[in-house]
Amino acid sequence: MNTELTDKSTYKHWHEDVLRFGDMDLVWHVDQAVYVTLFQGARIEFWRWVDYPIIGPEMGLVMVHFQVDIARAIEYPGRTRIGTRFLRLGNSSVRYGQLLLNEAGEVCATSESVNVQVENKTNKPVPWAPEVRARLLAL
Amino acid sequence: MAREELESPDPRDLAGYRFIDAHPLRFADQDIMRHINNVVFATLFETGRISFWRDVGLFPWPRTEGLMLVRVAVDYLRQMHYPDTVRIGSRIKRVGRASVSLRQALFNGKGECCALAETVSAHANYAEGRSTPIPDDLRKVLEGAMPAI
Repeated sequence: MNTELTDKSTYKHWHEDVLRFGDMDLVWHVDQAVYVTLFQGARIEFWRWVDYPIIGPEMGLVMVHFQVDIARAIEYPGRTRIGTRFLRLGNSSVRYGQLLLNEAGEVCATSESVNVQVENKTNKPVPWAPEVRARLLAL
Repeated sequence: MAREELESPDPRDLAGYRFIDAHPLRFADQDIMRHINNVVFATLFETGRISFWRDVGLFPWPRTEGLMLVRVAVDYLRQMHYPDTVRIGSRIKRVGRASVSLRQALFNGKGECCALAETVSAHANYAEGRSTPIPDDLRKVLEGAMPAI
């Protein structure tokens, strides 16, 4: 696990979710596939907080990389909190770091993922506009 | 909805539920229509039921016998949209010889009723895979959890 990602103080944006019974697998753990959904939900809320349209009529973000390290099982019932931040801003891409905590605040998982901004029609990368880039870097 | 209109309290009224479970909707709950997919309604009713049974003190069930879902009927009244936090109301409708019916309703953030569900769970012996009459102690708990009308 990347210890750079487990430092709670490095995250400004946190998103809380409530676990559902259907998130569990047959050994009473939240199923690993659900982690993908939880991390996704936190990134979506992160962009709403940033106030940047990631699903626009002309262009939007697509996922090109996703990895998860699991440190501890998440147990139902409970709430989760996910911290999200940028690790690196490329020309037209962004790499996120995320940290998933359980209700007790224990580290359950970390994730790194990469989005690329593309033109919807052609799927070709679209660089960040200079003013957007400045705003994102300021975060 | 003729049958529901005769039910009291009105199943579409949030105030008619003593037990409410709240859940934020997730981005992934949406489908290509950009509304919450119908299957997610069923998932939310499921998690609301489990929370209800937990509140009543019946979940987790014993390993040998307990309730098992045998019927779900959902009426979709209104679309739901992300982002929102929904509330799921659950109450016991009827306790039979070997089964129990629940009435459930799903409300959006504005408190509008978006769907109704009626479920039946059989009291089952898990090892033998068959239904068995509800024992007296369980019946007492179920009847005690029924809303006073």
